[in-house]
Amino acid sequence: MIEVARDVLAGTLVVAGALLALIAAVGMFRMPDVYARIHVATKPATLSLVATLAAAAVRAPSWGTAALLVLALLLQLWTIPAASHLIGRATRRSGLPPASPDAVDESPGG
Amino acid sequence: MTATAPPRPTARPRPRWVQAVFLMAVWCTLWGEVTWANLLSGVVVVTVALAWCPRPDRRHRVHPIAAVRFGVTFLWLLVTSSIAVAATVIRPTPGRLRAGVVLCPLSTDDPLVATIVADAITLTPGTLTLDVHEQPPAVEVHVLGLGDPDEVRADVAGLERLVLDAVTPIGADPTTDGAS
Repeated sequence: MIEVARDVLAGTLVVAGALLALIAAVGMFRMPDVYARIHVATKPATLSLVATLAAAAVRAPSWGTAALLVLALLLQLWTIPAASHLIGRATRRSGLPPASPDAVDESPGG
Repeated sequence: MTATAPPRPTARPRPRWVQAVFLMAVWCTLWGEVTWANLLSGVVVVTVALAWCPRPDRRHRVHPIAAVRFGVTFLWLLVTSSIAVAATVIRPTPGRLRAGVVLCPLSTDDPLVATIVADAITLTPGTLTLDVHEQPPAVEVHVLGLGDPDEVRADVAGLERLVLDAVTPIGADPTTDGAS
């Protein structure tokens, strides 16, 4: 019974993670500019990873494996925003404005 | 010999060996087992990492209950923001695509708190940290689906308060950092 429940939970999480990854991939093509693409590449992609690793942790053969997956997850949560922040800052400093015509821009540099 | 008080009595940096032991534990966990090869390669990696990274000059007090509250809030925001971005991808309307750069002032210049806030902003609905300013402390935030910029500032201030409750800098607080 518990095995079935674990399978159902892990299966749901894997499917949810795969769907989010698909949406992130589609978003790469549909978004209007670099900044919007970073949003797509960061949020659904991170939650996709959370769901997939959580699914693996639920079906993990041992506590050690589960702990390893949780550690990988925490490190990812810490570093993914840093990566997207660097891309965003580089784009910003290269002077590329957001694509939206009615964009608000309060940054000191202009 | 201890008649004169040091300038920041409670803010002494954590000793390096604590960081080294912690990093060694992470390294061995990542490899999955403790072997001589892992220990030796770990010593090399940890030495390089610690030599490379600037030494943090402030310590922080972690409040477990507030940290759990922040963690739960953070996960919830990650879920809602992913759903919001997914909606934008599936049906990109002009309102959802309205974007802008908002400057959000921070109340603290503590590097660790600013890092956590900037990370959390990136993983929460609509917002993405573009740049961090130190003087005065502020974050430049890109907003997708922008409504009122003041609302964004209020959200960031709320996030910062949650982080400050969970991780309080020791020595930077005016009430504990006295000339006594």
